[in-house]
Amino acid sequence: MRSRNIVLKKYEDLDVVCVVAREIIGLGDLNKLPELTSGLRSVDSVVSEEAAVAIRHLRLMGYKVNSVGQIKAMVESTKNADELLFNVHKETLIVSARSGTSVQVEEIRNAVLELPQRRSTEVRYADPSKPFWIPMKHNSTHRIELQGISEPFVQATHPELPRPAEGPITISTRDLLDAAREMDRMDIEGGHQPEKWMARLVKDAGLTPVICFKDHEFKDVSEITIDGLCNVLGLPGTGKTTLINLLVYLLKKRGYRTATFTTSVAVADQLRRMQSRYGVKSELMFGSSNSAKERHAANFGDFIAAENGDAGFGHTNESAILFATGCMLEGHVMADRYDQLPENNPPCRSISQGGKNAVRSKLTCPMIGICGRHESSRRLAAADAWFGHMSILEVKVPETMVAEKMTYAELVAQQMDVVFIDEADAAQKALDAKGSERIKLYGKDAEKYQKLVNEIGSKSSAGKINWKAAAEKRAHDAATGILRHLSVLDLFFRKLEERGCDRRFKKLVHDSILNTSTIMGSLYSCLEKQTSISKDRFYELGTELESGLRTVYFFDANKDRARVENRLHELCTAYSGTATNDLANAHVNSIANIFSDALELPDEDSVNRQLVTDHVAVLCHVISCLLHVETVLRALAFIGVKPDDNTIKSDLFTKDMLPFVAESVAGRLSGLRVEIERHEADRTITGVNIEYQSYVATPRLLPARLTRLSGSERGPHVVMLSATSYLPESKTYHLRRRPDYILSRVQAGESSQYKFSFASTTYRGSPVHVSGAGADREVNLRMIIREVFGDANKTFEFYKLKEGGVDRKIAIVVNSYDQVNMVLDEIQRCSPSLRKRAIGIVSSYKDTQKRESGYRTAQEASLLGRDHFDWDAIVFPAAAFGRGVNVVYPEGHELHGKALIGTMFFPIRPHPSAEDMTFLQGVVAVMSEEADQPISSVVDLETFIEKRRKLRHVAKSRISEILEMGGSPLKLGAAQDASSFAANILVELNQVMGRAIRGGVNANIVFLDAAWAPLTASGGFDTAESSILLRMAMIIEQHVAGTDPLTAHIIDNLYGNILAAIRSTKTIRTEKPKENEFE
Amino acid sequence: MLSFEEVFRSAAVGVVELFKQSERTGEPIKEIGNEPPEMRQARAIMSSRAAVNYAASKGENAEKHIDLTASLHETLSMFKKPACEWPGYYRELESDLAYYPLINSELLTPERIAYDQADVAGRMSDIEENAHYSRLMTAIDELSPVVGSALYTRARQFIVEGPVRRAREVRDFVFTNGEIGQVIEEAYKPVQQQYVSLDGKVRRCSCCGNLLLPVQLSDAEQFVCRYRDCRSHEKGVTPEVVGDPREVKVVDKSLLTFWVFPGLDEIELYQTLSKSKARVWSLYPNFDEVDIGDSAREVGIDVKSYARPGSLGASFAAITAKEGLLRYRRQIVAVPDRLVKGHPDYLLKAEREMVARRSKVVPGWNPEFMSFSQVLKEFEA
Repeated sequence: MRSRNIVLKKYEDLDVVCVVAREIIGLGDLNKLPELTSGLRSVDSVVSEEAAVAIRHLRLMGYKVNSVGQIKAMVESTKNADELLFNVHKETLIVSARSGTSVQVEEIRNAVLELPQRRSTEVRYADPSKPFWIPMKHNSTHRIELQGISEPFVQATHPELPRPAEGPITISTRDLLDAAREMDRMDIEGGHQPEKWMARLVKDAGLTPVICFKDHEFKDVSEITIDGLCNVLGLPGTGKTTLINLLVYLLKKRGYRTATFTTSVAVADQLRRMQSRYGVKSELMFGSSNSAKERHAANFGDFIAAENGDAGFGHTNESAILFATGCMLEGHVMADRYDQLPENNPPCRSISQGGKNAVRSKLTCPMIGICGRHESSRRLAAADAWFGHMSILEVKVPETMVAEKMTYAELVAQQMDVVFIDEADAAQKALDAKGSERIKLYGKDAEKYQKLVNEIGSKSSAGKINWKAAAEKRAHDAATGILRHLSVLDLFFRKLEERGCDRRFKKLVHDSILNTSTIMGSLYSCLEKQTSISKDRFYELGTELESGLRTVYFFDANKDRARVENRLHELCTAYSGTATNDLANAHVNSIANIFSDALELPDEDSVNRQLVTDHVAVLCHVISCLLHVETVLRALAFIGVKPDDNTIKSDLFTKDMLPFVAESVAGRLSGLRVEIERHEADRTITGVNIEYQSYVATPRLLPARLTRLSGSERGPHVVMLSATSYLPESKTYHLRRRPDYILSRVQAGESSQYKFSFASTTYRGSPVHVSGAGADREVNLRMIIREVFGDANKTFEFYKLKEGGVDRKIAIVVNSYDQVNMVLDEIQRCSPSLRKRAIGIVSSYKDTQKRESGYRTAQEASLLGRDHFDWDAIVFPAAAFGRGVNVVYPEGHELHGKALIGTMFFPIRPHPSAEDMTFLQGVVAVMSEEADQPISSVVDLETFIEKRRKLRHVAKSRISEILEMGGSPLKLGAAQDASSFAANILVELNQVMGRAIRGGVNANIVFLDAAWAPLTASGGFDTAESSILLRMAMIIEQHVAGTDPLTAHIIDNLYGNILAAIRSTKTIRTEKPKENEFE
Repeated sequence: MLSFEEVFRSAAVGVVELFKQSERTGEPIKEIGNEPPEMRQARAIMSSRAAVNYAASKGENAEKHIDLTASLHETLSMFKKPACEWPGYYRELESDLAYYPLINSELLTPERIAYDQADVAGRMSDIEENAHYSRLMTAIDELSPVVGSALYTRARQFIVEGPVRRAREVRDFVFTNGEIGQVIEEAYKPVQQQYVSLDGKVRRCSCCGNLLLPVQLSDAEQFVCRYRDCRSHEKGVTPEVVGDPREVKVVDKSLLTFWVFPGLDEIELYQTLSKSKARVWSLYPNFDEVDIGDSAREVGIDVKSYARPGSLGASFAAITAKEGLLRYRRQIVAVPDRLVKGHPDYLLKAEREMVARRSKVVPGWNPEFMSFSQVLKEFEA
């Protein structure tokens, strides 16, 4: 959100870009520029310092130079080309300077090298002494007149503070002990439940809990030095949370301000309340949008209800006001209009004043400075410690809080001295998800998109004439345009199915992301043997068509564009304006004929010509859809609507955040994914689902970038803490930075042990699979549950593990909330009495899922120990409980602090759904991360650019490969991919199973799905290729026996007990792998 | 701008509606999605009033002017205190209502005043206590007045004397009192988990009979009664193990509030009076026209446990709700000794307040304010 220097505003974007490319970097053409402006820090190693600065500033100011397409569009759209300082060839993008422009060039050069300023905020408050209007339902307004208030309550903005602390911060063990002692004393003096910090630090973590690895050996260290980015790996039970609490307190005492990011707002709030107890001014960061407010207020309501054991009537805690949603103006609405107030949509920034018919202007509510709804953001300014979830970083700071437009990431970078990121591996996964976006456009689950289209439509038809109305109309037209093309595609795919087609084309449609590159790649692979035309020519043709459609789409269709082949251009024009499908098909056929001729296919080769026609048809519709999608997203962003869960799913970082992280190494890859649903019995098509996917950026770089967000201004130190962030095969969870410190138990006792059993079920002689069973998944899951719990002689007691005379509980871990209900339903069928002793975890209570009917919400996880007499078995989805939430016996119980769950059943193997992009996001992110690393050897610019281009092709190919594999390890061809996949599951499994060994107890783990060891289930022998458990064991073994002592130490401590359990189980039959099988 | 009484009344309506809803659905209380509009509107009115007060204070003591009513949970918590203690909302209060909390801070149920004010606002028709009462009366209507009155007394006494009972006891009562059994069965609910102690059992208070709340203090579990009078009882609370929570039932919250806790003093006085054979006393005679009365309608006694004598006197200034007492020749308002002892001139102040607030003289309406000891002495028990 930095604005362009006033000097730069005088010049065309193209001139500024040319100065950077030609005069500062030294490029002769603009084709290579996108390889350097992608935000990768490795570029700094091959360009001059000045060039690196100029490139960073181009990104910060929002110059669109991320792809050759964007640059060409810039060239195309530049008016008065004759008056430019540079001449840019439209085809080759070669840049030549016009004579006599050196003064202007120098002016641009100097301006580009200056750090661009942030845009200032301007808050216009409504005058409370005069009447004003607030929006009501159905586009109506309501007149409000405030009495007794003459001036607006202006919200105080964040004070200008000095830059974050310079130089390293050192904390000794002695400092930590002193802090623990002080906090314990405060507990006693304040009459609080003692947290026993000293005991936790000394007894649980060991007096010297910190070791570091330097010069190839481990060293006990008596101090931690925080300097820039720091990775602290805390082995299980070594007190990461204790350390965060002590550090936040200690740093506050030294005058530092800290921000701590956790896996959820609820966990952040727990930490916040804890620190408040010790006199640290602690506040919560979370989004102030209406949807965020609603979500957090609901979660808070659930928490208060769960904490107090009833609906929460009359209960509260000190966080309540932070989640408040009330509006001070609502009390002024006339009683008879009260029901017309839009729910949870107060007019904080949408007040109009100056007469009912005056031009509507958005004014800020004059009460905002004292309104309870904004209490949380007000308090933040004066707080020493901020707590929140990572997702807040991309949110814009309300303009009433700061004098400049910025995101929370920038505010944190500007004002905090140290940033803690708890569960850094989970944070990395969450950040990866923000590098790509997906929108369900058509078919199943696309109702929200359709609803959005209708909503925009209803707004745009309201007859308003202003920029917003125009943007809404654009969005609506484009959105309906998408539907038109998709309905044609739907029809096309159905017809294709009827008449049959080349299997390679079919594979493209079913497994790939559809865009110009993949479609032309498919056409080439189909015709490779029939034509002598090069692969490049295929891509050229596709690009030409895309360019033609893009030109026609964005610009005046009647204007002659010589760049596009005339005939193709005409057809594109006709195609774009075609109202009927028949006519569109006719144009597609004409375009296909041009393609066939260009590919030198003989007229009589009807088979291959049909293949070309099919490809061209898909290509035309896909390109058109993508263009429309871009328009919709741009228009929505312009209007101020961020597609979210309430409208359409899109997790992508906001455009304000993208300049701070690098582009994806795959470039800006976007396309459509098609899923064809079939009838179970006759396999006929029952539906076509189409989704937009786009891979854009590498947000996982953000923690490292925070230390110097804009490149030149100093930022905070960043400390990443986690337990499971070290497993090199895991593309999702492994942190690239090796641990600087390892928290390890010095006085380690005997560690907890797992006992693994594999017990699959057979039906008519065949093993029952749940994972990978497709439509039979539910039936098979029920069959397994029936097999285990249907035996009257085997109640829950039969499976319970004893600990000190206490029967610990059993857990059934599934993949989704739907499966929780299936399992409970099946247990009910087996035995109603068993069902009474089982509880299921739901996301929130519903009519049929209430506490009294045997359900608990995920928010109540930490309170499950309190009502442990009420249940024997718990059914929950693996991802339901946030990290750091312990399910343990309560204080006062003989097993206090030890895991409630002793036996864990896995009736289904964790398996990503077709929609889960985690694995793919991780793979792309790792490649981007590698490309971001500084280059140590001397490389010239040309070689660097060439390498980057090749890497982009490789990345795109990898994306296609993985999409084709459908994410299943059974389909994964390369051992490397299978190991990456298994490593992700291993991390997740370790987190889930870890709940059963909390407090140093042992646990029984039972794998029920045949998919865990399919060959054993069929009477054969499993290997690491067939069984994911054995592959996990192989990964662990390789590291433990490897030559890197750091890796061996960590992996052994983290996963040693899992390895021992897999190797000692007799229930999985193995045979010795052949030599070198997995290399 | 609305008067304080109007604001208080809208808050009362909101509290009653929210409580009703949460009892009916059992769903967690949330600001968005399931907050009754009455409550939201009450908060909004209070919030806007807070802004005016803040403006009037010219920004002084900003910390006292935090807009707590923006949060539903904070608002409910605030309602546990009388309005005169609500921060930032009301500064000069002359109304009596300012000294009443809307929510009972121990039972976490709406106070009687909330229901009364909701009643004034015409929103009393379906509160839970009334629902139980009307169901009970529907069942009794089928019977003769004599039998019905006896059954009513028996049912109410059963609840007051045993708010926590084993499921078997409730079943036995249902079995032997078929006409009203169903209503009583509906009035008893399962025990909530928060009352289950670490050994898996529930305990009840030796004073009031209600469930005790287990709390973890240092390393031991202790039990607390939510009723303040029990906690301040001279002998202290003695936990009595009732048994497995699955076999225990507890009476509905609204009945706890309106029948059980006020009923403890009523039962105590009734039992002591009954020891004297000079007069035949009845508990809740003629369908609760008074708390204790004799069959000849010579003496009617209403037991009142108001902490403030002014409030007690004010409540008797208007007789509309006290018609039952008017049917007796001698009308006695009996106050437990513990209240009279702790407050000099309690009875005198109550009487003066009643006289001062009385707008007209009603023939035959002459309530006497007496302590329990005075009542017992008067009737030689």
